Amino acid sequence: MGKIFISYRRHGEGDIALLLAKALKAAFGEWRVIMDISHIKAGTDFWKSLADALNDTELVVVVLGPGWLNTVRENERLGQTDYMRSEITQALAMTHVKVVPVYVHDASMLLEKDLPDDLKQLAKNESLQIHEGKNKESDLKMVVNELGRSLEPEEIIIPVRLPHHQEDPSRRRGRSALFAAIFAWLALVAWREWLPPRPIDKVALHHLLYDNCWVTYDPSGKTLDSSRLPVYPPLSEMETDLQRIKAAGFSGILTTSSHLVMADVPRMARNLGLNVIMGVWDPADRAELERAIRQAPYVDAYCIGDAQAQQGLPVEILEQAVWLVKKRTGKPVAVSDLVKKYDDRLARSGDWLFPDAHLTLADNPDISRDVELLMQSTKTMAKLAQALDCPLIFKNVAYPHRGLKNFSDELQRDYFRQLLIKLNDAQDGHVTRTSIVAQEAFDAPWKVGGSFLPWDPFTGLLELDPVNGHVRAKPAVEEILRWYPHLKLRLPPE
Amino acid sequence: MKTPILKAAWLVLTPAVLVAAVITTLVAPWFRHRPDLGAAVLVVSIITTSIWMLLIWLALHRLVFQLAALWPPPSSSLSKPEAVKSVPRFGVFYTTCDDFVSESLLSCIRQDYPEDAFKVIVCDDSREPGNRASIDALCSGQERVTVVRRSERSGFKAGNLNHSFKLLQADAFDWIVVVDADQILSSEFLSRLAGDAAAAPEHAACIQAVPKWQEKSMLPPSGPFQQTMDEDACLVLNRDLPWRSHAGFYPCLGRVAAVRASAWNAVGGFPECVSEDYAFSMAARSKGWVCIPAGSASLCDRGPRDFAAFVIQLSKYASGTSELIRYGYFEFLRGPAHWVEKLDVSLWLAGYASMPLVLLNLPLSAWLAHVVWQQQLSLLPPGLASIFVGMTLLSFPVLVSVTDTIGGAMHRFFWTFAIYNAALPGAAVSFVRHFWKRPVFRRTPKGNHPASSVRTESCITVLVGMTFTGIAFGWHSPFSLLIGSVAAAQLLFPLFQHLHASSGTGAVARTLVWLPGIMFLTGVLDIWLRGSC
Repeated sequence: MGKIFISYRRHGEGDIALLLAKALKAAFGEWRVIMDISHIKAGTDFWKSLADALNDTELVVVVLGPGWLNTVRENERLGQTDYMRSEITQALAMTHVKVVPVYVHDASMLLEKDLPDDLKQLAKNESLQIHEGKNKESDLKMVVNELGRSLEPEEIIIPVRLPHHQEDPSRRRGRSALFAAIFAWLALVAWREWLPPRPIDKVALHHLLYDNCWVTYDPSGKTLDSSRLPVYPPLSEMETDLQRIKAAGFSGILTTSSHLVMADVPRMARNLGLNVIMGVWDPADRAELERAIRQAPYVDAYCIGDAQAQQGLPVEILEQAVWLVKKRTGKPVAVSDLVKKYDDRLARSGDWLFPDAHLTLADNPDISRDVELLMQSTKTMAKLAQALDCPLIFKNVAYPHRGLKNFSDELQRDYFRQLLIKLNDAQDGHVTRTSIVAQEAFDAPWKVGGSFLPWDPFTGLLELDPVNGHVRAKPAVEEILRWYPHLKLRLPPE
Repeated sequence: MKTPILKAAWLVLTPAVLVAAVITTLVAPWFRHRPDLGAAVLVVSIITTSIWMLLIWLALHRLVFQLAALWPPPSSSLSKPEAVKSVPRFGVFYTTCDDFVSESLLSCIRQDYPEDAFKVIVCDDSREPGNRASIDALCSGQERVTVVRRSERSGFKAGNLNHSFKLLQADAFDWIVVVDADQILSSEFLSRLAGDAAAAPEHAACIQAVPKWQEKSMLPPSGPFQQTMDEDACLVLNRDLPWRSHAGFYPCLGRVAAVRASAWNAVGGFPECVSEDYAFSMAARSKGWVCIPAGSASLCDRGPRDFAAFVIQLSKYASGTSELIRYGYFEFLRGPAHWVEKLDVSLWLAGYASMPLVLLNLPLSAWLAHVVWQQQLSLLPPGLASIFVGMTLLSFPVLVSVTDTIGGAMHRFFWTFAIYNAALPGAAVSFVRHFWKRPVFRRTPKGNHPASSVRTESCITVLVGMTFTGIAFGWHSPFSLLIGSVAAAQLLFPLFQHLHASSGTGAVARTLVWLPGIMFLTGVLDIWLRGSC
């Protein structure tokens, strides 16, 4: 939409030009009317400003008074710049601009022959007139109407509306909700994945570890396949085993893995009233970890890793497994490795110290020597437990009843008797409270060859009578149970 | 015609990159560490995982555009309309086919616009004498209204429009405004559209009005079902589409679009198919034209009036998409459109194409989840479960922005979850069927016109729901709640037909409509907390 440019001389026609401008602004909008001088700022190039203004202009109204032509001639004679003449000549040269002369103060119409060449067109253009006197006002209205007709004929004003893309409150609300949702999501993910596991109840852990009589349960060796790999017995058989362990007086079992059907052992044990420390054989095996975690409702604590499984395994894997199991289950977790490898870092990974106290025994039995051997090998563990203020339980504490010359059930009993006396002796023991998980509930005849010692298959504490099928407890069981006065042997002794 | 510059292709690429990242960092390592559970489990795992990844991609694609729309696009395709030098001549084509709504036609006639610059053409495909008589009665004595009828109804709505255009030598108009039978224009609509038309670039074939839910007050009162569905159109046009004119393919979706007469001629009119509006956008784009959103022309759109109407509409969209994929999609892919636009169109259409896949994937996933769960294993990696939770959470801000309140967002989430899942089997069947068979146009019932029966859909849906219920119980796992939520929605199909009613049955339906969504959210949380570790 083009603008209306008013060209006039301030001296002489300034008053009527201002009146005309006011009327035009009222009719077509203030922004459409350009009064030359007021729109050109000091210091700016007049010619450039003029060209810019005319580019936007649709109509130039030339206000002509009685002395206008004389002023043109006078300026020409004196060699002075005539700004108004320049405006008119430039406007006449532009094809998109209409130039309309408006005679005021009763000025006579210009004749083409009187005008210089560059202004001759002015006399040819249709002109308007504002007379002085009583008709001045009506003339002014008439001029405004006529000028309106000179503008683009079909122009209409469309109501200005905000584009729908502009900011609206619903977008603001959505963004606020988005930030809230992102915050909620991050908080949930942090709670589930990133925040450290919640601290465990140390008192409850002490009760769990020290007030229960633990035995290792590993049914994997009852039968072996043709490749001598362990085959797990059916669930019903494992349930019978657990009933026998319970009947023998043990109140808790330690499982050795969470593989396959072993994942069902905690549920069966819990149903029988046994406490469960669930073992994870290979901490690098994601599936085994998942199975262990799934059993959390039936598990009291977890033992991650086994000395044999984690040979060469980076300790970071072990730590990640501990973190994952603790995070997902909220249960106490310990790592296990051979005593000699159980360093400060491993100890700090878990909630208690759970070193594997498996010994290498000499051929000839000597109870005092063997007890002392274990006490020596575990001394550093006790100091570590004291320093970290953690419970200390020795895992896989075993003594054979067969497999070496002169070993017997009685020797096994005596070993456990002396060991437990020593461990619980405030002066002579480890000076910190210490307990054991006896290895193991049943003999493991498959532990033959390879890294196994000759007596490894014969550490079972319960024995099945091949004649009547009844289970008998070896004498060592009674010795172990002696330290748990609230528990009682209910199986017939051997 | 020049191709528009797509400045923000990252919007289309982001979901693809995210899915690729999920596959490489979460899914692939997960598969590597899975124990061997047999060939059947492996095959089903690969199939379901592929489908899930596709569904995540589609969902993310939509979510990214919706979330981006919470910020206005950098600049509109239109400059700010102030005034126009000449009055554009509009032909307002009011289309009806036995679904005439007098308020809508009156809103087309009563425009604050120069009288000699617009005409209303009633493109009447009605067969019912009552409808014809109502139209004739309203149009008699109206100088600016012409009623056009034809002897046969080929080509659906597109055929109706093309017939009128040809008959009237529509070069008498600069723009053709296409209005559906139930759409209501504000009295300023044409004057606003004139500003938009003046500011539109030369290669704009179509200007689409944008619904403004703030102006809902001008709509006649409606029931609870329609009120919920009213916001659906707002969601699509105000959240899915705004950024598409900058970073994707901006389609015409039949929401009062003004089509430039010269573009109409150049494209050859509306393609005569069920989804004629989307097909027109693609055909126009293939010839170098574009569709753009209106800067100021807005409308109040009305959602389907009841559940049966919604089921018919969704089935129609699905069959229309099926038809579009067969007849227009590949030509569009070969055309001059930018690859970003082609990808965007592909993913848009895949939204409907995925419906049968969803139905297939649910039982497969349920079986797989059951087998894995029996093995005491996790169903999915924790990272993936967290992404599901995140996507569910992030859909709420979009709903808050269109419903204004958290309560409104919750209401919409639970209602639409239930009714979309209830309508899913019918739409999926419709999509598959029309790959082989050309769809028959089914009119979406409007106003007080009687609805067509959805008994067939009801039977199919209830059967699917019963099957899914059996699967949920038989193949138990944390996934059971998820498939159970879909099954619940499907079993409630017959009851949902009373959602709009003020009777006691309606009240029961409006209470139970929350159930599937609650089950779904519980299921998502359960899978996140128990099913992944």
